Amino acid sequence: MAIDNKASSLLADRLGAPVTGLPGLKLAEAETLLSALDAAKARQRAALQASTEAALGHVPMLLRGAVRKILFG
Amino acid sequence: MSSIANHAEVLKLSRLLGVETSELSFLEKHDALAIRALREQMAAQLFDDGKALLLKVAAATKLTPVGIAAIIAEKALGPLLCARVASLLPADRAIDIAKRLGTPFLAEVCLHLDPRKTTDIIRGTPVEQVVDVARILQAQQEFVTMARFVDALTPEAIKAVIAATSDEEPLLRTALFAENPARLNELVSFMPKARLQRLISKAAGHDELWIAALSLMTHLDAQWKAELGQLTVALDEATLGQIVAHTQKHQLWAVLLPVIASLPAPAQQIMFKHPALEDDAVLNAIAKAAQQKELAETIKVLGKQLPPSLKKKLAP
Repeated sequence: MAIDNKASSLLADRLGAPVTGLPGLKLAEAETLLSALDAAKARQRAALQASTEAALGHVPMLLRGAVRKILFG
Repeated sequence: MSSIANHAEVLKLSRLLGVETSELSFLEKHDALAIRALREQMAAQLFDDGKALLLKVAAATKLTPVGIAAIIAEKALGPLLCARVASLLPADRAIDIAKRLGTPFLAEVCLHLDPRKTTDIIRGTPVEQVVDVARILQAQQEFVTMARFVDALTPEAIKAVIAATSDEEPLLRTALFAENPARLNELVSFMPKARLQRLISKAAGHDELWIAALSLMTHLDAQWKAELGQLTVALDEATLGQIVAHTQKHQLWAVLLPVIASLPAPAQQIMFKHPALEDDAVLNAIAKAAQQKELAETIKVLGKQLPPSLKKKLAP
């Protein structure tokens, strides 16, 4: 059974390369996979933002300006 | 057996995406290699997301004294971001920071680390620290994570972890999830015969562990397959009966038969003469497995040693 065309093109479109070897993967299943990926990205982004702010607090005062410049331009 | 590999891959993907394994159970019917390829594509997406900021964090880390970078890592960045930033740091800098991190924190970092992108760091980490981290991961039953590191660790580190692990069960469970089965021959070669005996004996007592042991044997080369097979048939009759029961329960004859075929004829006879193999349901299950095309050669090899009752079932 070939991979559902819609599922195949959705995954390829979002992952930037064709996905092979998943015959019969349904569109709803592809959507589940991609929404889990989106949620993981969002969690990672939020953690990254929060922790870079928090990190600055631990940098010695003398270095803080230089580090802030690297992080936030 | 492929279903074991599929389940392992689904577990790894669900860990990567931070979801329950049950949410991705629809993938279990697919080939393990295809699930792994999907995981790798998704991991690349996740690792690339926010890379600009991660690169800045890495640049700022280079500017900060190592001791302070370690404090920031533990108190501000947290395990997930440390894992992401680690692959963007020069290995020697990352190793220096890692040496100053608390072992429980480092173990948490390992859950998120991509060992393929941080091989130099992993190989440069002092063996004692690797052993300490492995102890925590074992205690937390993080066998999927441990397995991901098997490929990246040095032989010395693996030997030290095996030596520090008094129980064979964590080793078996880790082997089940190994990313690169080719490395399993080496791992088995690091274990003294007495430990391999205990490993087989332990596996025989529990069906889940027997599945792990069979998975391990499947990936081993002929010499090691025969070695573990010999240790198996050397078990007492009651324990061999348990093995037959586990194999029957999970319908794993197609996996066990090639292991038996790798044994010398007398050892094959011990297995085939076991009273549990006189059971009609067991014989039917073996006969059904033997009809698989991939097992044609195995059945040919086993030829003379097959019990008459089984030969009868196999007759066209």
